[in-house]
Order: sequence, then structure tokens, then C-alpha cells
Amino acid sequence: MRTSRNFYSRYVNKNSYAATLIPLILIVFSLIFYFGRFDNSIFLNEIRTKSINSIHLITSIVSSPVSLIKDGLVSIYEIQNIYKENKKFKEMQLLDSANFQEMVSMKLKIAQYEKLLNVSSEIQFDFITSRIVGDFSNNFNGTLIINAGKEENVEADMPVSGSTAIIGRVSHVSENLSRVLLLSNVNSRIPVIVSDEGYDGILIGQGRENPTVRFIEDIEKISIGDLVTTSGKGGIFPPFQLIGQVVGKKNNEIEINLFEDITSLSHVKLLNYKLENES
Amino acid sequence: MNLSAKDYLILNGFFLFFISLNNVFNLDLIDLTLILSTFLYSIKWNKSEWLVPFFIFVWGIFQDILFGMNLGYSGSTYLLFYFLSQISSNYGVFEQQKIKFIIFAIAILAFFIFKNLFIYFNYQLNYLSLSEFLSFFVILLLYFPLNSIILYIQNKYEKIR
Repeated sequence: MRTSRNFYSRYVNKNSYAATLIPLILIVFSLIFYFGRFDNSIFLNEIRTKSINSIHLITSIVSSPVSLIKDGLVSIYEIQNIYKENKKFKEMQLLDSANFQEMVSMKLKIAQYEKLLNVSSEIQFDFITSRIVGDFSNNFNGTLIINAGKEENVEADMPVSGSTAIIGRVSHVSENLSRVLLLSNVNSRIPVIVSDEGYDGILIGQGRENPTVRFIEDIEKISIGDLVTTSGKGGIFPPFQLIGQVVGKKNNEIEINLFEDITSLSHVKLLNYKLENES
Repeated sequence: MNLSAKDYLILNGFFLFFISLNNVFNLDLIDLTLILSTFLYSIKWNKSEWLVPFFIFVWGIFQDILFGMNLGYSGSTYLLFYFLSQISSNYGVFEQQKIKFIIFAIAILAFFIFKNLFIYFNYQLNYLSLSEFLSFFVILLLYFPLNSIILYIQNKYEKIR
């Protein structure tokens, strides 16, 4: 009796240790993995890129019933708002037509100036339209998954834009899917120019908060409302593509409000841009 | 809770379903990773279920690949709450709901502080905002209904056995 009780007590103790020790070891292992950034190695990066297709397919199938319910509810809400939006658009139509006229005349004027100055036509690119199939943006990690990959000739670092402005760039490409690193992602850094004077700076993602532009020399000359566009330096983004507008100024940085609202986008444009001597 | 093969299947299915929900819902205030962690903390795990932490670890890697995050983030979060559940169970505080909640609240607070400090030092980004605090309180509030559901299911399961 005593022996069996001892055996039981030893068995329970052994199990208690193992039950706490195994997760503890795995936590340490996970933290080493996280802080060591081993997934940036070519081997793990390749595994990651290859596995995203199947992982996304599985999760899409599993979540499809919930997704259908959500889509239905969103549709009902949209139908409710359709009359209100129609009225608003009618009011805006008159103003838009005037703006459109002005824009066309300016475009013609610029084309004439470029011809006179013999400017090279390097800023030319076509685009691929792709649907957003997953938005996994959290407070600091802004990423999207789109349904275009190597089969559609998508390449890493391709600029991605919404209907009006740049939203990010392609970070990983698999066979049928690609991951987009948004401008809001804390790992995003892109060269930009601010205002008509063209002050250079680096746009840095701030998660859910507005991105900021740092490393600007004449920050005092920048005003609220100035436009922020890509500078084209680095050769990844074509120059003069709209990004956002200055909404605030701090000591050595300015705060930008992005033109594109990611949550309202369903499709994106992948810009097939390369410098002339590259292509 | 002693798990049979069917239970393991249900547990893994639950993980897959919950992680897949991130495809559909992307809310600022409700962090689905922390909700799943709350479930892991609320369940009274059997000490002989050695496979469970390994499954949790694999699902963490799966989620990180889906989200495009650095590998190890989700796994360490899930395992932390699983570990706390085991510790509180070992020291006999699992049945005392008030102490169990205090441990959970301290763990969530520590998690938020650590996360924000990491973001601050790594990205020079001060992330403490109202929405960040609200999401912290939402998780604390959601703990009560989630814990009650788990307790109800486990008590029912014990009665059947």
C-alpha cells in the first residue's frame, strides 16, 4: 500500500514537473526564434513563402461560413446607404466635372512643357489588378494578402496602389498569392518628397497611427496640407505617386494622413515599374 | 481534463477555426490571439497531456506564417497562458476564481507592458494610446464570460464521466 502510494506520488510529481517544464522550454524556444529573427534566413523565408498558399487555402475554407454571414451583413448595410451616397455623389458631380476639366488642361500643359524640355519618358508603367483576399493588419504589423503571384508575373518589391494613392509594396511572392507590406507597417521605410518644393524625407510606418516623415532638412518650411509623394529614389517606386497629406508637425518629424483607406479597398493595383536601363 | 483522440481532434479543429477567423474579423479592440489565450488559460489541463504544448507551438507557427509576423510571437503568447494555467493548477489556485482572475490580469498587464516596451525600443514608437488601453480592458472583461463557458463545459464533461 505504502509502495503504491509512493509510486503514485512520484508519478504525479514527475507529471507536474513535465507539465510546467515542457511549455516553459517551448516558450524560451519561441522567444529565441522571435528575437533571433531566424525566419529572415533564405531557407526559412522560402519555406514561409511556399507554405502561405496552402495555409491561406485551409483557413479560407474553414472561415468561409463566417465570411459568408459577414459579407451578407455588409451587403445589407451597403444597400441601406446606397440612396444617401447617391445623393451625395450627385451633389459632388458638378464640382468633379470642373476639377476634371482643370486636370486635363494641366496634363496637356505638362506634356507640352516636357516636349519642349526634351524630358525622358521614364515614368511609364502598366499595372496588374488583384483582389485582396486577406487583411491581417494588427496594431503594428500591417500586411495584406492578394490573389496574384508568380503565375501573374508578380515580383517582390512591386509598388502597390489603391485607386488613388500608393499603399505599400510586395514583400513575398508565392505561386498564386503575394503578401503586401503596407506603408503603415512599422517595418516600412520609403523615400518621399514633401510639398511643391520637393523636400526629401523617409516615410516610416507607425502601425495604426498615422505614418511620419523623418530626416527632412527644412522642416520649418513645410505647412499643414502639403502633399507627400514618392521621390522615385531607390528605383522601387515610380516618382510623384500620391501618398498622403501633412496633418501635423513635431520637432524633427511630420505626421502624414494617407489618402487610401485600406479597410475600404477590395482590389489593388500592382505597378509594373522598372527604371528604363533595368528593363 | 484527460483528452482522447477525438478530443485532440476537436482541440486542433478549434485552433484552426479560431485562427481562420482572423481572415474575416480584423478588429482594433478585440485581439483574437488574446481571446484564444484566455481559453487556454481557463481550461484545466491534465498534467499528463504532454502533447498539448507541442500542438500549441505548431499552431503558433501556423498563425505567424498566415499573419506574416516574425515566427515565435503567437506561439510564445499561447504557451505563456497555457503555462500559467498549469502553474495555477499545480499550486491549487485554479478553483479559486478571484485569484485566478488576478493572475490573468497581471499576466495580461505584463504582456501589454512587454509588448509596448519592445515596440518602443525596437521601432522607437510610443504605442500607448487610448485604443491600446481599451483593448486591454476588453480582454479583461471578456475573461468572465469565456471562463464561465469553459467551467460549464468542463463541469458537464466531468459529470458525464
